[in-house]
Amino acid sequence: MVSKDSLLHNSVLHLILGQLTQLAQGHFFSNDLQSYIGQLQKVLLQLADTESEKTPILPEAKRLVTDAVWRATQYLAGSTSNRIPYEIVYSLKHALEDWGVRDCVITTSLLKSSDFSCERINSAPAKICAELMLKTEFSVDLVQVAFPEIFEHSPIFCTPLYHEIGHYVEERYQRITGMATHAEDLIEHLPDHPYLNINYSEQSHREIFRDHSIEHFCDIFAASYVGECAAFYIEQWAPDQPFTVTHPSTQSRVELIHAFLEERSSPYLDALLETSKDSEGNSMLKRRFILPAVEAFYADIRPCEIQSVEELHGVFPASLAFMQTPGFPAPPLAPMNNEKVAATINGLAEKSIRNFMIKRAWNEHLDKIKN
Amino acid sequence: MSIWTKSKIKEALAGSPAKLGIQPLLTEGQINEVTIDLRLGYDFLVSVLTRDPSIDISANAFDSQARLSAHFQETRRELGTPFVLYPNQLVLVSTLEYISLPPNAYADVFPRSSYSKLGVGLGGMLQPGYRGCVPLELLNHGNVPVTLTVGSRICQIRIMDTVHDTNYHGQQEPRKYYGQVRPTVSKAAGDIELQLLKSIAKNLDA
Repeated sequence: MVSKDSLLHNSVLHLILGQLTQLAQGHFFSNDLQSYIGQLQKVLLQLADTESEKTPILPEAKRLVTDAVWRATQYLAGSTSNRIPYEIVYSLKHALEDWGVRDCVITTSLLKSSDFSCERINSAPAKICAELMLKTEFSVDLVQVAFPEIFEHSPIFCTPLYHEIGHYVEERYQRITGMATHAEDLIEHLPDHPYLNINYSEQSHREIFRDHSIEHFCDIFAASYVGECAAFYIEQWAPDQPFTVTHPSTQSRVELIHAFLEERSSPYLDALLETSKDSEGNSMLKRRFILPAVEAFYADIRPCEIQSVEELHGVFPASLAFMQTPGFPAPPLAPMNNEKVAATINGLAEKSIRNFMIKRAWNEHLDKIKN
Repeated sequence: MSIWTKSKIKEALAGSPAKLGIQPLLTEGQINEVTIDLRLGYDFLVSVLTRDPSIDISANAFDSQARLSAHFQETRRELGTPFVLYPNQLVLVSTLEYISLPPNAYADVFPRSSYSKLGVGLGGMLQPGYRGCVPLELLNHGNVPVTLTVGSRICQIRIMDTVHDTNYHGQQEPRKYYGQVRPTVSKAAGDIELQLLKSIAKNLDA
């Protein structure tokens, strides 16, 4: 007999189990995801076994895990729906690998709203289960990103996802959070420092410094891969966003991105770069892209030939710059309106990336077969 | 008109920019004596049944473009993964390769005979100057489902010279399927002549 207090939670648990079964039976092609879903099913079955006295689980712990799995199903459903934006996911995966994140699967959720987001690292089911010391065998971590469904085939407009995975990297390594705990001298160099209310407590100032610094770090992280694209979206979508206690103003964000791209020095930017050094003393926040020569290809309505991972990231800013350059399409091609130009260039960028992915997969496996 | 042979195809693929674009050309083995093998792409639009009794592309259906989309469901795949084509099911897909034709060359699209023998039908043509992945309308004419593989060589194109250069893309309106990288539903409902035909039908007794 289920107690009245746990009626809803038990129902939710079983409903989610049903959803996971549906997902597991769907036709998709990722062994990592299949295994992750299998693990989630095992965890929920463990929780559902209310009679078990061997492994008593506190109701609060049950709720935490159920909630985490519930949230994760949204992303798992997106990634098993056969509508994955493979091109942007592939690019993000390479960026995460640069930062030593290899044991992860990027799951995507297509949103009806205009938001871009990345679920907090500690909210993933595997992390929560580990904290609660539940017996599990998750082999990978989930990176759970969401973006507007209308950009499903517009990779150039999906570049805010680079900023979002910057949050994942920061949460994983806590470098900026660590820097912010003893950075009293730097607070006055924070780009939005003039807006700090002098009546705020010292503690509030520290929290604002930390939160702003994380946002700035994610912007620079994004700019290190996709250059100007890191500023483009916020400039166009939220040009007048003022300072808030959690987010810097658009103006200061854009200025810092440009300072980074133009390699200008400032005490605050230098501190961010210093904090992001690897074991050999080189800043991880460095220009990691090369602009491929898209002009000759795109002007002739052909996908460009990407030659390296650096060019893979660079195809985003190069395509954006081309899209914003007047004179396309040039005669003898018939004219196009702006929407058609944006759709065409996004399509060519998507195809350029996919061709790079295909050629790499083909050649790597050809080598394997030969050897 | 003359049909392009292997040596002419290879010559047209060389140079920068090449006269003929096939992106990506995974292996030169795709180039045959007078044809080029092309591969099955990764984006599909699968026809599904809806509450609409028919796909209405008559002039009466003023919003038929939106309704046309409702008859197809999008699904994406990765290289090497399977796709099942059911009997009598229409599936829109495009080739893995993005094709760029010169202004003086036209191409026919045929199924490869190995697929025809399984009942998989497709066909089409590419105008001179064409840019885009080749749209394929797959139909399984057999009575047994066929499992296809993304990236497998499914069709071939045969290229021919035209007598003169054409200006296919220089017309006042951009071409309907220009530069497309994934399948799109039919744009038949956007044919402006349908309005004229509707007007004629209305005045039959006048």
